[in-house]
Amino acid sequence: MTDAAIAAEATPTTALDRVPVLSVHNLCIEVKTPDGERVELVRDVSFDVNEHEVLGLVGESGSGKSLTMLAVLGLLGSGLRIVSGSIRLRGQEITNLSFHEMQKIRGKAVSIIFQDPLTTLNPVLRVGKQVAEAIRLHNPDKGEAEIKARVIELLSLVGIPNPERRYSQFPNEFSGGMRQRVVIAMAMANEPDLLIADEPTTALDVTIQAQVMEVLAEVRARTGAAMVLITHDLGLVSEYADRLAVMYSGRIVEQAPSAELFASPRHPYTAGLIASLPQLERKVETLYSIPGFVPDPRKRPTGCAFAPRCAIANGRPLCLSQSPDLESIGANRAVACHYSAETAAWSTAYQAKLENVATETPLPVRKQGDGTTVLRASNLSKVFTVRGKGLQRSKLYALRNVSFDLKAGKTLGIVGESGSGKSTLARVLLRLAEAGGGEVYLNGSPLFSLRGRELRQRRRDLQVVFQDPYSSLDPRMKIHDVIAEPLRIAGSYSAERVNQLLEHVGLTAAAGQRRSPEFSGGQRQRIAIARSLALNPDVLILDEAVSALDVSIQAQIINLLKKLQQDLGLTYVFISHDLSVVRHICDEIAVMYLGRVIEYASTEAVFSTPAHPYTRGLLAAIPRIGMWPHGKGLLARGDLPNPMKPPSGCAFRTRCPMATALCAENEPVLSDHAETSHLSACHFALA
Amino acid sequence: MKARFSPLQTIAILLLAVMAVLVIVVPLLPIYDPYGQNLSDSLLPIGGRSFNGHFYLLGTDTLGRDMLSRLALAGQVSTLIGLSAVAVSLVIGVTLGLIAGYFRGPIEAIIMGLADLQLSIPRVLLLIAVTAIVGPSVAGLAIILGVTSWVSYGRVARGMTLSLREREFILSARVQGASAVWNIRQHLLPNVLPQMLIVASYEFGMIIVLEASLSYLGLGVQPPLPSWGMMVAEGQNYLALAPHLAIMPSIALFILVIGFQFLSQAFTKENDLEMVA
Amino acid sequence: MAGFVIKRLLQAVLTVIGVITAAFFLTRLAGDPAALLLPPEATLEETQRLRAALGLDQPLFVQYLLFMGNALKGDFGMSLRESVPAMSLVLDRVPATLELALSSFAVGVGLAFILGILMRMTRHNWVRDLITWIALARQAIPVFSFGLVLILIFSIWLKWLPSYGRGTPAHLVLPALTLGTYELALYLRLFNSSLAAEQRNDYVRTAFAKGQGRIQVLLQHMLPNALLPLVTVAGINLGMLLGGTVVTETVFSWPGAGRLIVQSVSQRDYPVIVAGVFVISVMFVIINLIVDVLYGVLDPRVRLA
Ligand code: SF4
Ligand code: SF4
Repeated sequence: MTDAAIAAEATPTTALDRVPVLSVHNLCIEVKTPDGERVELVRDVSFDVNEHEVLGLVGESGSGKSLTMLAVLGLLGSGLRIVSGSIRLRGQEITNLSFHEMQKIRGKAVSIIFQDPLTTLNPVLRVGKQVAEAIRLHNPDKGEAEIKARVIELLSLVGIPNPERRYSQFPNEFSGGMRQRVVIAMAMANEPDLLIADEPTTALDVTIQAQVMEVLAEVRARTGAAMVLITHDLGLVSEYADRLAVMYSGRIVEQAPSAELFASPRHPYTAGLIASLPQLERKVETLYSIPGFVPDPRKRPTGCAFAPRCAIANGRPLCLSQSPDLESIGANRAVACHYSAETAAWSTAYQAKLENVATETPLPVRKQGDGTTVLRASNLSKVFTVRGKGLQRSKLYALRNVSFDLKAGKTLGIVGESGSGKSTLARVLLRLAEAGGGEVYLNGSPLFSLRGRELRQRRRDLQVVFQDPYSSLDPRMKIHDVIAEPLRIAGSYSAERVNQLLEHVGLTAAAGQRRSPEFSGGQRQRIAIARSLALNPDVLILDEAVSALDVSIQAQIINLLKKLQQDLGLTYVFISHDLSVVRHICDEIAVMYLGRVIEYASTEAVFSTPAHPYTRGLLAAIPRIGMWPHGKGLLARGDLPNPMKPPSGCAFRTRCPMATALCAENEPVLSDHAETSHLSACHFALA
Repeated sequence: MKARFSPLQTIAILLLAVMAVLVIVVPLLPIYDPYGQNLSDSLLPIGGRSFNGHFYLLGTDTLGRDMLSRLALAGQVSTLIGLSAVAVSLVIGVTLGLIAGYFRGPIEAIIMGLADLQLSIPRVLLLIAVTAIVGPSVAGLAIILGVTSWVSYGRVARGMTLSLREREFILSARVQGASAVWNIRQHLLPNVLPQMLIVASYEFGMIIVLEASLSYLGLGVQPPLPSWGMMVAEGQNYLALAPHLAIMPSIALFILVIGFQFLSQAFTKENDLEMVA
Repeated sequence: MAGFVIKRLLQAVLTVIGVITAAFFLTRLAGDPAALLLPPEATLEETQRLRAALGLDQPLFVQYLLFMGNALKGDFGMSLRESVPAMSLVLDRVPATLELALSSFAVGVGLAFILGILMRMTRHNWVRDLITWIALARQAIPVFSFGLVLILIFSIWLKWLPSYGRGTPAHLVLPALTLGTYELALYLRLFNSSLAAEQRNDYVRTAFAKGQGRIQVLLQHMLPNALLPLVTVAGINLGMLLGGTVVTETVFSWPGAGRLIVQSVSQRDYPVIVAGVFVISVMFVIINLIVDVLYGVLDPRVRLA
């Protein structure tokens, strides 16, 4: 019996208190493309959300997870339409309600938190007004004063300091984290039965994410609302969701209680996702990566949509011909796979293989560099002059005395949140921005004094791969020409070299004849890597190079980068905000905060004995599978201070759980506190 | 898919085809005679016939000249002025816009300051002032109209360049040692040009209207050469008596301008789709 | 905010200086001012005396400063045809021009606003299409053609409204309609596209998610945002309107500054031309300044920056 059938049978008879808050059955959503084609984006989706429960809806981009929940609100965009299925809120069918009738439900019984707090609030309206609106709409008889009092109460509930003053400010006076708190206040204004959180923290830094999730959990606990947490982040759902539904290509492929799902995934896709996730606790030589990519919904394979990427399908005819139904297995679980019984065996085998690698071969010997320094930065600084109020100018110290020393064949990780200066560092190293002071030595000779032709020659040894795979390729050019460009600039073009480069990154020569819009994000990133390698550089700067990719694709690219490093003896500077990825690829790590390096040590040392309170806060803030709750005491407090007016003394002191009076007076220097090479900039560093 | 035209494109092409017939085909016909005066035949209505059986499809003007022929010749003059002015302004605008956007700094400040300055003098006035001093001639008009119309191209080109130069594909070309000339030729120009052609097809209409306005004011094309604007001005005196004198050239102007406007719109839509996809 | 205003003021001053500079070169291009002032049979001596009196024997740069000083005093010399200062001739005509420009502006923006909202609210596609097509068609008709068509219909055939001159409100109707509707398509397109752009913002979805209705979201949330670009473009276009007055004034024999300039061109009265262009440009600069400041007041992102 299918899951849907079980639910359908159960619903009418049970007592009212057992009626789920939300119950979705066989929901199908279609889009009509401009050329009149109908494409199913959500297919036969069924699930329930019970009282007080948090359901995690997980999937990569394009899996249909957000659409499903927009349908619940009756807010599908134009061209999108529910074809069949039912959505019941506390037993009431809502698919046949008019837009007008839904108005009474939206914001009252169900509310939603969108991803980007920058656009969720109307920039020209006062924040308090926007929250008040949510209350007034559903309580027309409440007086002005009463509403205002309630707004202020809500604002303080979500941890906004000075709510009275904040009430009449505009959104651009709030930081991203604070805005998201306002959005939470707005969503909770009428104490809805169901809260939908659509990637609520994806746009935020990890330390802020931890704070916001905390607030969300608190207000939810207070009102007892059920929640659907939509996210691509497995770590996050594992910490915050009771039950999970995994979506792939418009369908739910697995449903299970959170702990069980992570302990024993039954769908090969779930198992693959979990295996491909870089984890903080362990370092493996190669991550598992699900091959291929998510199919275009217009060209889904017949049979199981996951078949082309599945590790256990092995081309079996059943997988290729028949799409598996979501069948319940055990009390609370359901999975849509013909051979789900085999998944466990695959996971164990894969795990065993990992452990074998870890124990028997102590990491395969890398093609080691000869230990010479390839890239050295000494005392880099960069100051931006920012126009402030009126005619005054303020200085923003984007880089302060940044130094490092990178040996051939090694990878240096530069880690930091937004505002840390890590992207500025990349631009300065590449001479896309002029440094204010300091020097960069590439293969021993200074880079900053070079000009004109000489600079154009020498900078070829230092190449870059950027974050955004969509803007890194000229949309008009064929891929072959994209990769050939550096060769043509240098006057050494040959078609064989281009094909060789394509092969290096796992693409065929035939791919060179197509244009970039035909490629997926992961493939574009491969192309960008091939282009950066064209002139045989010594050092590659990877500026958030895997951050924009889905988990399964991210693992592919990380593995590719590692393989290239081994084959070609490359040296990497790996810039990222994601510590778990950094752990997998870097030999050394420099952690940055407000333009300074505040900790600099080997990867092992940073992860096993983080010395700086900020590093420890960062590590504690990363959501991870099967760890809950994290070390709250270590979390950084509050928001990033205004970088134009950094705090006196230690720049981190406003957020540091260990700060003392001394911290406000003296700025700690970056030094080794125990006689190791583990550097940190804190008066009370733990070595 | 590719061979089919959208409704808007179809209409644009039809309108422009009508214009092409007027400007290219009519002068080849035996009845074509834009200068021949025949005072006895003056102010004949549309489809009018003279005493000696001479047939005028669109009637005659005050001096008894054939309206159809004059409309055709005026159309040739306007299109010629329009095309050369668009070419001049396109080249100036794209060059200045790309330079301003790519090099930034003081060059940009000067170029954009110039643009702002020019925008602060209404274009018609500027043209009046310049033609008043330089004196009107067909070549002079084309050049003046061209030189004073570069701003829209310049602004759009600069805007696009500003965003393109921060795009990673240009940054990575720079990192690979590409020179400014390389980047402008290989990446900026090809990415900016399609948009420029849209601006051009819109601007063409504007320039035609400007030229017509100047000629209407008596400051543009000078007699005996006809121009639509001038014909409207002449017709204004006979508005009650022979409205077709002012209306016919107005309709010609309308068809040409709206044809190009639709053309530019049709392209804009298609491009927007490309950007969404 | 104060800084923003100061910055814009400085820019405005710079622009005025630029306009004066342009005017200076234009007058010098027109030929030797002394030769223009004197009868053709004047002797060399007489010419030289006048040149000295006008400062034309000084180096070009000094001449430029002199010109600038005079311009700032509003002194562009005497009209060559009437023995009054050119400036006073122009200033006499300014109220008429302003009257025409402002009423046209009100017609254009008002119509765009009403039609724009109508297009958003209506459920009928044909209403939307009809409005768009009419506006587009209007934009393709030059001001003088449209003016003549209006005269033909309302003055000659229907005999409802006067076709030329200024005085009663009835005189204003046709000129204001002619000029005001010209930019309608532009305003409409802009208004619609900014409304459409706002629609894509999450705050619109959020407002719906709060339980607001379509009309509330349109009026309370989208409109304040979508009006901002309209204000800017309308401001810039008010300048275009000032230019457009030249043609409109000629069509309707409206006694404004534009018509004065055109008449002066045919009479080769250069001081009046230069003074006229200068005055209209300065008016435009001032209007733009006001619009920009208004924009700042409307948009907290600018106001608080
Ligand atoms: S049904 Fe077959 S292809 Fe699909 S997930 Fe299961 S084993 Fe893989
Ligand atoms: S110096 Fe003080 S404030 Fe700074 S990190 Fe160390 S303990 Fe915290």
